[in-house]
Amino acid sequence: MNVVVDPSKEQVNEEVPNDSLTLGQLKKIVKQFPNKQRPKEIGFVYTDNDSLSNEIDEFYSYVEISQCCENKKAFEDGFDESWTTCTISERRTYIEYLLETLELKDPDKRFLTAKKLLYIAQGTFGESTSSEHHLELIIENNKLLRKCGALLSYFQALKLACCAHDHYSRPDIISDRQAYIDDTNTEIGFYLTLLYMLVEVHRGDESFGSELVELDPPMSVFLFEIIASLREKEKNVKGYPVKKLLLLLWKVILVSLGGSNDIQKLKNVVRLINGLAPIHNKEFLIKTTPIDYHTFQTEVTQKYPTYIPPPCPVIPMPLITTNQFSSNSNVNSNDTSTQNSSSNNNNTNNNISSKSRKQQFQTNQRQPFIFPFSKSTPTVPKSIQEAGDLYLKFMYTSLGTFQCWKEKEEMKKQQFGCIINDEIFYSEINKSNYGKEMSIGNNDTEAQVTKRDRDKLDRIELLYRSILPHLQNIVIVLLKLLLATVSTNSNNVKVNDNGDNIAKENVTNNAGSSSDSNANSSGNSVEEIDVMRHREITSKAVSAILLLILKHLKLSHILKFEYVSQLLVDSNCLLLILKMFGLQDVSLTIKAKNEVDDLNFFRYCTNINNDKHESGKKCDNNLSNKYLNNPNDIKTKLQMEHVDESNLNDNNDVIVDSDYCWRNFFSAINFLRILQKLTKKKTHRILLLVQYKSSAILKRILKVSHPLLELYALKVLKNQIPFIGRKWRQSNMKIITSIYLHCRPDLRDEWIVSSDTDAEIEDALPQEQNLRALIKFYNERNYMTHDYQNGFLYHDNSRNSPDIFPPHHTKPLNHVNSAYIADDIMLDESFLSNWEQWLQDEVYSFSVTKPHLNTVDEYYNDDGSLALSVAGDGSEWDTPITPPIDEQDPFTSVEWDNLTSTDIETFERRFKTNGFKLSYDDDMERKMETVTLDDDKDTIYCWPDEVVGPFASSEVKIWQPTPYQSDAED
Amino acid sequence: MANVIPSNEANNTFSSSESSTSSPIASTSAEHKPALRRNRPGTKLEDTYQFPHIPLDQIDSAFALQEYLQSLIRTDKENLDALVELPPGQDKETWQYEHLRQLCLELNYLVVQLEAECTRQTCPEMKADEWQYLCAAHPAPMNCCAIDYIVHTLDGATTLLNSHKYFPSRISIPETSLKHYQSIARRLYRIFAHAWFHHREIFEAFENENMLYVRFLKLSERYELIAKNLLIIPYNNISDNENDDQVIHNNDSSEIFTPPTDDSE
Repeated sequence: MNVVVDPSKEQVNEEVPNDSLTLGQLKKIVKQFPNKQRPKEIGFVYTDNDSLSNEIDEFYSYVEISQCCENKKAFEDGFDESWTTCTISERRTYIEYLLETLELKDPDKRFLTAKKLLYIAQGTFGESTSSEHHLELIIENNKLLRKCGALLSYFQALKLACCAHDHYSRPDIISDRQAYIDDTNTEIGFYLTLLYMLVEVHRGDESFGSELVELDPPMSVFLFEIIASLREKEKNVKGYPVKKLLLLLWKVILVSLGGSNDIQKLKNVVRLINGLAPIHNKEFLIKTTPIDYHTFQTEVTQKYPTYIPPPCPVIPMPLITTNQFSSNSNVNSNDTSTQNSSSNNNNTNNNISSKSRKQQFQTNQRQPFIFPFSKSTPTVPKSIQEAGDLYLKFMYTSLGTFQCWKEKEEMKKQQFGCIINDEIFYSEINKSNYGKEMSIGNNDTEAQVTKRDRDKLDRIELLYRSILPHLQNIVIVLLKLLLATVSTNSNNVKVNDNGDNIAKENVTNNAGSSSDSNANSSGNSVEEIDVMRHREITSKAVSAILLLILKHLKLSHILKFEYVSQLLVDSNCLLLILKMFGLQDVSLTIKAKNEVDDLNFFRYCTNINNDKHESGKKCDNNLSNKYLNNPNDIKTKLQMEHVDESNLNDNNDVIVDSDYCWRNFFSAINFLRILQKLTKKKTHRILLLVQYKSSAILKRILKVSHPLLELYALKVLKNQIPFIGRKWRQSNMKIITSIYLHCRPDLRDEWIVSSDTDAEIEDALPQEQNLRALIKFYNERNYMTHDYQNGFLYHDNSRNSPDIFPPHHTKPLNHVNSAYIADDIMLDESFLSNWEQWLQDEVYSFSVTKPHLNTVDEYYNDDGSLALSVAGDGSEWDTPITPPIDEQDPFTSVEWDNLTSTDIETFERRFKTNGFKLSYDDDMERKMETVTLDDDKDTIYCWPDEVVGPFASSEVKIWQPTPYQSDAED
Repeated sequence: MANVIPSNEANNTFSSSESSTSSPIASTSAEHKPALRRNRPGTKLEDTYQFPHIPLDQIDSAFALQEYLQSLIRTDKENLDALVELPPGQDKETWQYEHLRQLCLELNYLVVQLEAECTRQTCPEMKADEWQYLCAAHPAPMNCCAIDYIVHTLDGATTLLNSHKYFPSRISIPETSLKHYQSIARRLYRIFAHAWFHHREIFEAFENENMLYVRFLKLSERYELIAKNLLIIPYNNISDNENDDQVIHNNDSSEIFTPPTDDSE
């Protein structure tokens, strides 16, 4: 017989027949094979972020690393002593002085200060002795900076710079625009760097997270808004430090909202708040969901109509309407009318008797024999009952299901008209905190849910509420940036001074080129390495941001998560991610080493110090220039992974490969997770994946031997198995085996059985549509206010901070940065000289109780003529215009001469249908409350209860006074 | 120059203790009732605050610390050390808070004086010597003229000190709100600076009357609210009354770095 040597199994056939190899020979042969069965497992540990020093390294790009020297010089010019020898109070004094200078008007001074501050924040590396010491100094300095209140100053300065950028981006400012914008971009870059160092040093610090959230607006919201604004066409985004912005946003989210561990802990808290049992022992959870249970019930009761399923906890199941006799309907037409649900038992008896005698003895193939109804014997086979009990035992109501169900109930209520769509009612509800809104649990939960937890949940809520109107833009910008990282390098990339760039929109799709550039192991100039590195870091940041946002929002409410998922899917995120994986072979990217060690931040600073010590001269730009000019001197380490020396250990140890690229690994796993989150249990989207032939791409990913990466790739594959066709399944049994081995199964897991896929596919689109309707309902109900007067929904964001200054009603007239705009608002001469008198006449002399124009009668004499002799065109302040004569006008058809009571009623009716409102008060006097037609949107009222007159022209604008205005000269 | 004494009537009507039996006659009664420390309606300005200064423990009111501080100022406004000194048993933070609050109240009078002279024409930008500031009290920093800047800043500081979010209670101050003290002090300092550099007479008249600036200096020094190198008003030119041998603030720091005037590029 043949000895089948399967190199993937290393099983040696014990029985060696004579004409075959001996055992020893066999072993030798196997040794020679490339060692595939025990590939080196890559020692990548998936955490929220990389080590502090790596993250700081990655923040700086190579082109701008020489900035460090400038910072050092600027600082040493202004500060004579050695920083490390100063006392804390001396340092504080200097820092506070610098922070004060950040608020100056002169941008040059601000630049200089920013550089000095940067040097401090970067750890005054001129005085560090080693990299570790450097890191310590960084931590020390930034902690001191925080104590001095640097966060507020940085944030202030950043807001200023962003406003300036907005201003300069406007199309009407032409002269020298690019120079200004470049300067502003540099300044923004400085502040982002300062903030990043501050945030990174305080990673995991909860009080710092609170500080970030207490800013106005909260830092994460502010950064998201910047991202959203990048989409506006007016914004000139060339040269904007996007990478820094993204990295900062990522870290800010981590600190202020929390990382994976925090999310885990909060999950149970939220479950408690919603009255669900907390999760224990996550690994051993084999679960069933209420939906599974429902499916089970439906199926079983078709066969065993006597089965009364025990009720589902938490979510009540709708009663199963059994068409149990539908198969018998052709037998006996009397039965089709019986369609009740609850009285299963009773029917059984009756229908048997009504069957014709002959068929009584014919067993129906489809239905099992129905036990005769009797109290002593169980009505249903034990196995069925056991199955039902098992379902209940492992029932896990996920938070998402529960929330969805609740929301669906609300939606149904609204459809049936049970919800009052009252603005005030809802504003009261929405004002309450998250915890109060959703606390269904009993008193125990109050004790267990700490204030901190509720604070965290509030933060997520606040974030969502604030960025909701911008989410569309944010998603699009993020995905665009992601796209830019995979587009081709040569044509469209321009590296400017800042080292950050955004590739323009015209992206060509050269599929293989970017993966080729990874394969080159030599000859890459520093520029290209820098660009590749830049892209890797950007995609890392985007992947992290997306994943964190999805996770946090899911924690808060499933429909928030669903909304963002919907936006992502609609913007083609699935395809983009697949494309990314398709264009860059994952097994290559995780080995890519786009690093020039000497230009990395810490090494660079050490080199500066060493240079200074050795040669005694001050550092200059030569260090980086050297590399830029002589590519052969570069100590780059671009390698491909070759399956090289693989020692066969006899005791089957897994060899850990520690030569990998952390950030690429991290991005890859993140993207897979995002993919999984977007498509899990959503047939419609899974079908999209199948359509895009994602299985090929995912198979490639599986080549990398890392358990976590494999797991997520397998999960995504598992979703697709039912729809992917038998042929594929037949030829990819290995993958199916892996899925079986690695993915945790549910109790009712049908991915292999592939029953009824057609029905599922049919269901897919309605499922998706229902979901979208639900999301829309959720958003509208909770976050939009209905502007009844004007008939549209708008996002009400004004309840964020009651303590802002200046208060809303006193906003100054100039909304723009008046340093850049020459003219003020022109006010009328006569008005200016008499404004006090005007106030007296128009404002203070009104009494609230008696509006000066309240009845129709005042306008008209009894004989129908106008009582007031007016110009009729509304040119004077308190004169009405004559009503327009047209068909719709309710007044024209009234014969004012002979008014009868019916006429009045008709008039009233017509009046109302034209959009005016009438109300009656106690003495039956009719007043006009709302005086404008519905389509009159432009009127601004200062005092809403003031009646201005029923025929006021729509151009009446009431000037909103500011509390203080210095004597304006114009 | 009008006599500008901070008459904190508005505060006092709320802050005085309310005794359940309201005696028709005030403190001159011979009964041993706790004297109502209140300005009755209709009191003339000269007759206000006729109640004596009592030690802190004896003040029985929800706003004891504020009342104590105010009466301390009334009795002995020149004794800066006593004014700034932390009363026994009190928190440093709350005491600073009360001082800053009082500062905001009293600064309003300076602003009123300044309004007469400082207009958009005379001071179109907020400057103090060479330093030029942007108004931070708006959502986006704006280039307000001096008097606008002053008013906005003062209002902003007042709002911040009164806000429930940052200072929910007057008895204890949350840790996270302490960092605002420095920024408040720094911004209020600029009001003094502008007045000194550009409206000297008003400043001096006001200062002679109230000694607010030296008190502020003392407070800042005592509790390290403002870095010394930011005190751009030269010290030796300040009020003649104050003759304590203080270290001259400005020149200390010149060893370490150079002030902005020399830095201008």
